[in-house]
Amino acid sequence: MTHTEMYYSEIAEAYEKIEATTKRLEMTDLLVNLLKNTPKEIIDKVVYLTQGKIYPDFVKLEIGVAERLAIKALAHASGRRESEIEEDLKKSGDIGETAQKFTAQKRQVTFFQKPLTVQKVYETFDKMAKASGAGAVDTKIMLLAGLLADATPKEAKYIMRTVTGNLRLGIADMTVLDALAIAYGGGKEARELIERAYNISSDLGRVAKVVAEKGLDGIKKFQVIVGEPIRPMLAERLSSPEEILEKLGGKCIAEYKYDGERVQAHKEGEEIKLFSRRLEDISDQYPDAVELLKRHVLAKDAILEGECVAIDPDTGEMRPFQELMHRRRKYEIEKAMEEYPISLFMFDALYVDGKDLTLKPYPVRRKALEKVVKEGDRVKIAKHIITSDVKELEKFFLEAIEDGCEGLVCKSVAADSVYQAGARGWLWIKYKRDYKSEMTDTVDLVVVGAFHGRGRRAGTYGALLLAAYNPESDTFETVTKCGTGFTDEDLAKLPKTLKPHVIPHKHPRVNSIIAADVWLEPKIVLEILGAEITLSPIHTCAMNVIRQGSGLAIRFPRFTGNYRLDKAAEDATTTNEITEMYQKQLKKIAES
Amino acid sequence: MFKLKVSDAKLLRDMATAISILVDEATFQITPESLKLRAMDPSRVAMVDFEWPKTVFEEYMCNQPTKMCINISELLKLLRRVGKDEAVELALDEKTGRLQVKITGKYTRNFTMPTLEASEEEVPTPKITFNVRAKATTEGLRQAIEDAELVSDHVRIEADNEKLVFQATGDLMGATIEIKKGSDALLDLEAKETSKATFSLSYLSEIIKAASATSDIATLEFSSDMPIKIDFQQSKDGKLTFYLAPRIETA
Repeated sequence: MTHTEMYYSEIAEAYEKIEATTKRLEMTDLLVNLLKNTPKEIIDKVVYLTQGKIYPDFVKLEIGVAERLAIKALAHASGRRESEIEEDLKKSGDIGETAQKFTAQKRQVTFFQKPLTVQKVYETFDKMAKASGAGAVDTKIMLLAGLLADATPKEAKYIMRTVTGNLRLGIADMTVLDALAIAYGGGKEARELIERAYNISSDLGRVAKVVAEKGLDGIKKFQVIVGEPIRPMLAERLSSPEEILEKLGGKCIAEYKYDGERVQAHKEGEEIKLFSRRLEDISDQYPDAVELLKRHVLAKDAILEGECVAIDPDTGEMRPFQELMHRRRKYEIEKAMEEYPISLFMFDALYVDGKDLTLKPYPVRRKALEKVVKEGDRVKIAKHIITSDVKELEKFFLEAIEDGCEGLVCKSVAADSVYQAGARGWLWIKYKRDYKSEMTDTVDLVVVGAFHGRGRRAGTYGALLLAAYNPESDTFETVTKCGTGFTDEDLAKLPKTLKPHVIPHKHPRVNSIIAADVWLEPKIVLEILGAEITLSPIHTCAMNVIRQGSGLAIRFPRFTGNYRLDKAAEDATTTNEITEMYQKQLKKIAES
Repeated sequence: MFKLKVSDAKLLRDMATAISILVDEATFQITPESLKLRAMDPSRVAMVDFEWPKTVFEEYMCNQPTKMCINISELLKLLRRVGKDEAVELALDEKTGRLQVKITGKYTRNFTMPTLEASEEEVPTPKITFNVRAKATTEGLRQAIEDAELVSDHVRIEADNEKLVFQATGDLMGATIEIKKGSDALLDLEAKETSKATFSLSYLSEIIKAASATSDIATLEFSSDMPIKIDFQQSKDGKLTFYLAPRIETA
């Protein structure tokens, strides 16, 4: 045993004490003691172990021992039958307790026992996590049985809980930071510096090692590293544009808040890794995003943030967030990629070619982002405006909703608008809706215009402009743009079906702010199902009825396949009916 | 630097199989006189002591003692590809640190595999006074073990000067297999005192099954509640011995 070694029993004893306390301060003290007694060379490993892990969260590997497998290893090491162990486990409900009991009552003699060191335990866990291929399960069982053969009953308890992912000492990241500040930073005041290091690396182990070995000077020099996720900056929330502008000093950058998955992209040469908001490596779920970023990020190394949004493969319109769930799978990702394609909307640059931008104000970071991202069909910079006008902000908000977004994120443009890694603050403010009006019934709408298709839909129409009927003014007021729900056959026939009704300019009875590619005489009625009805500055249906300057629009519309040939244009759903539907279904959105 | 050639590839394969029962990563010692390995399974319940002096090999060259650790199941994958009457040559490429496995027969096949960090752990041979010494056919032992496995996962081995008894007791069934001195299966039996000890059948059966491919006769040595030593007699000058720690049986 050299001075850099440490017995696992010391950790097990600390765990036992920590488990016994419910007071955070006491827990911190116990942790301080443990960290002070830990050789600096292995302090990172001890920190991971106290969290029941062996690597920082962003590393994809897990020890991953199922209960069934743990039972086998315990049976092997103790010389007891699996059935006996299972029976005890049913009673205790804790594989740790059961392992402790059976290790104390071993039937199998061993040639000798060697006290476990932290290194030995860590290395064995590491081997277990990395075991792969055909014999991986047996390898894991034998490695675990080997540890249990040397373990005392108390050690066996914690080893077993760790490998099965059940350690749960309840030591929060923040408690570890407190303990590090006290043990190696000279006191609690050091916590802020240490926390910043953690926020830009998400790696408690690395932070612990740097502060233990190099003190606060080391922590001050702590750098962002490509490949280690920066803990995301979060936004506060307000529900009126007036309050938002006031809070942000009268002026802000307002950006679409896309309804997708937030990703932090790390590019290191040709290698790209994507991290989720919770710092998990999700690169495998989005091979298409990885490819897109390779082509559209002009820097050699960069850390950028953006939103990954599901799009309709035919129309290019944004789809709701739920559709991304199809990407949360291990197999057939190719198929999911085809059926549920994505677009990227980038909104921040945190690091570009050796320059850490996290302490630069947002306008500077956005400039850097615009320089480094080459926009294309599927990679864009988040749509934004710079405004100090309440009305303009409100209008942009409604547009965002109608385009399928959740709302806006309004960002400070002040000199101190740094990237607050890991913090929720007032530099970014979410503007989301408080209410929404879900649609339950279908509506019958009149085709008044059409848009040319692109890609797969070249040669036919990509979407149709649809209107409701206003009997009072005898006009057709637009309410949505729909390109979803058409079969290939429908699509092929569209130009022919619509041709007799094409007119060279907007029909006099059609009221539209949107300019269609092709205008149509209001004749054809389609049955449409939408997700909800929302306020809209660009659709004329029920304009000024609910709110001054806003009409109503149908969000996420889908053609049911039903041409209402039985209906004349004047038999379509009326604007009054849509207003009623909106009011009837209006419900407060529960805060998520 | 070493180069070892075995003319009977099957022998090497069977030996590697027997070793793989206990260890995944095997650290061999190659000296100018012999190839040897002494290793313990990760749970420290069983031990293998293996040695092939240079006379076992068709060619043997080793200019200085070397330690080499390899993944034995990876080696086995290669050895399973070896046909009848083919020879195997093992050599260490010092530049790359890789083991070269050359199989020669109808044509020549060259494989390379990585070597791993050699274990520094010295495994001592247990110092035990044995009261019983029994020489039996490996076939006879196999039968007795297979019978016992039908009813339990462990077996008590008991001997006096007259007989060797295997006794297994399960939850529902029991089995007693008695081999008398002078029977075809039991070639010799000496007992200083009546002794009995219990062992895990999973270890015993795997060891005996794998080792009986290399040997027809085994010598068991044990004492009450002490480890058992099983030496498998080799046709050439080699040595293959296993030690297995006992189980504690409460009532």
